[in-house]
Amino acid sequence: MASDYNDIEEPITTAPPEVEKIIREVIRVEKENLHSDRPRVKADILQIIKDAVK
Amino acid sequence: MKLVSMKLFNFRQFWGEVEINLAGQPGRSVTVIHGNNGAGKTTLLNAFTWVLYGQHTGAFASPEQHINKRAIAQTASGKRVDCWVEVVFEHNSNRYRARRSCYIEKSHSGELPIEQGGELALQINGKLVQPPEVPEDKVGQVLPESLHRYFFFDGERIDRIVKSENKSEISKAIRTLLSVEVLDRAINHLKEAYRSLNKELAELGDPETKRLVKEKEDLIEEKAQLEAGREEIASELEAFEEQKQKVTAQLRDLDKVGQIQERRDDLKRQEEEIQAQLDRSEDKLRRTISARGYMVFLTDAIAQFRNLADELRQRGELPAGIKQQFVEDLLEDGACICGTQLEQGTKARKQVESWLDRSGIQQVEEAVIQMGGEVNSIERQIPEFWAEVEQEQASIENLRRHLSTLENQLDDIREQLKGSEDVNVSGLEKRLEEIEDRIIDLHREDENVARDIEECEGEIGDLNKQIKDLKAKSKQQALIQRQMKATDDAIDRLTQVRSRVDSKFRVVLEQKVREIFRQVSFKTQVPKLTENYELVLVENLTDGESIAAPSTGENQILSLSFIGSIIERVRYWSKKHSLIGLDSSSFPIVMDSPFGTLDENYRRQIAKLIPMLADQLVVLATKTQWRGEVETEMEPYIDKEYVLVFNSAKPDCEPEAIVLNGETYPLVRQSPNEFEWTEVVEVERR
Repeated sequence: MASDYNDIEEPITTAPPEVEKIIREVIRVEKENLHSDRPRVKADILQIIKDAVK
Repeated sequence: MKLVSMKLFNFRQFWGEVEINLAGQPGRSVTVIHGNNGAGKTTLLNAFTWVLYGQHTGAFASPEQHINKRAIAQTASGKRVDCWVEVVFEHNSNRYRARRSCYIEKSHSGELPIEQGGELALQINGKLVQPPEVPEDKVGQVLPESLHRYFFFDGERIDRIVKSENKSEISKAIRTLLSVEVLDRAINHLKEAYRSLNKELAELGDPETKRLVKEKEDLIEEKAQLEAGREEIASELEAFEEQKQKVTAQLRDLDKVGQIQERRDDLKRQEEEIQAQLDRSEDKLRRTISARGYMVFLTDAIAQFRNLADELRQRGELPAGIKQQFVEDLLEDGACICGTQLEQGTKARKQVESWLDRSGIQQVEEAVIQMGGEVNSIERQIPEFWAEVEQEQASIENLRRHLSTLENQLDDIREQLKGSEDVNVSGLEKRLEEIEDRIIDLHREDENVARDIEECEGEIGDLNKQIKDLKAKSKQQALIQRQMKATDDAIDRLTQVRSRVDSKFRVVLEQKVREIFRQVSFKTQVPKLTENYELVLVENLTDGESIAAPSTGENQILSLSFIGSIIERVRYWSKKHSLIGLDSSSFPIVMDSPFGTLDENYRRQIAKLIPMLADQLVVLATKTQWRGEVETEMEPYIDKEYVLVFNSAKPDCEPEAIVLNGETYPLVRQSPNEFEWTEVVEVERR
């Protein structure tokens, strides 16, 4: 059963480096803000994309 | 999150400073705190929720008052009285010290002022969290506020978390714990970012790019509207399906009454038919009698006619024998048929002339012959008439009997239907038919909308291609397009992960809840985690699943099974999936008044399970709650044990004690002064 879960994150781990970076950063920001709903999250995410793809 | 210790200073019943260290070693992670009602168990539970989230549980009375009354009474007017609670916990190898404090300035008037302060101060590894960082954010990252009620709770109210009115809260909690919430937020925020980039591109781009981007935006909007329409159709469909089930059930219930009514209507129809036949028969009988009834009264007249005719025959007057015309012809010719001349005055002529008188009876003869025929006909018709009358009477009799039977049957039915409302079964059936027609229409409509959406998607795809194909006129444009492509890819990949989480985590969590619930409950009902992440109890019936209406006890078991499963599963997933999993892989449970109103068997099962599932357990119990089976099951896991000793100022207070590990500890004792407060005594464990 456990092996079935191994590929859950596979779409992330097989992503091109810049896409993987975006995903990891976005998830980190979302986790940090999970308990609140701050408008600045949107700006942070746009910035993450711009930083990852230059 | 691993709780290490708690310190209270002048907090509610606790005067001065008290400290409680919490068990946390693997395998010996249970802390038990004994106390009578009112001694401060609920206060300790609320001390945790107040420090960490500024929240109180439902059973916490006067939540605006935190400061100990003895401390206030013993402070001089104009001086400040402080109160605080400090909780130390560990998370991901970091040590957190959270302290929330409040105070009052004691007034000269003796009136109790409103408490001031109430802020949270947080140190992480000895370093104070300072602006712009917010201490609440840091605590929220360890255990989100929306989840705290599942880990710090009142056992007597635990059933409430799975009640239907709280289903959206628990759904959100499950989504958060399974990382679905994080993924959904990430996907939505990335979509917003994509739109922003698209807008930037439109502002930068050449007219052709701008036109295509605008066209694409319009299509995206149209698609969103179509999707919203589809959602409406889906909810309308759901409502109709629900109505269909209700009407079907109603029809099923009414089927019996309906059948009786159908029988009644049939009998009524028969009754009307028989009545019409009866009317026809009676009419026919009347007409027969009035047309031919006189015949039966002609018997004497017929006999008289026959006597008269017989007499005429006996006298030889009938039959007449010779015709008058014949005699007259002979006399005129003057010769008889025998050749004798019939001269005037001759005897022969006189004899012939005498036949003239006798021949006058001829008319009588004709009348007798004609009458005889008619009389014979009448005589023949009399038995026929009687036969017809008898037959009609028999038919009438038969019809009346039939009618009476029908009336008796209708009376019986009336008796059976007494009390039941007149059911409009056909009306309901018509309604059902209408609903089914509407459902078919809606499905058709949905298919059309889905087709439209598909067309939209196709057109959007084409436009995407055209936009891509347009040679980027500037480096900036190309960069934004790359950023958009990467964002789109990220959205796509996160959506795939979301779908995997949905199909695997949800099923596995449901299995775990079921497994735990089955170990504890003897009922056939099973927990189910719906597609919307709502937790319900269902029972399997022959015609499908039905949502059960659980009792308080069952809801308590369901809630505890859910909490146990969540802890076990999240611990596993967080280790396995470091990226999307929650940062917390261990959770404490702080439980006031454990197991609510569960009976002995359920208490034992839960007491056996919870210490194995939770990473750390703090139980706040009265002497009664900590009886036999609970103590027996939890004993092997206990590392720390405390008694809340209540000092009562009541003059006739009855002291009470508890024996633990062979030692007697006071639960209630006489206060040495006029104040009431609680002390915390650690139990010595061997």
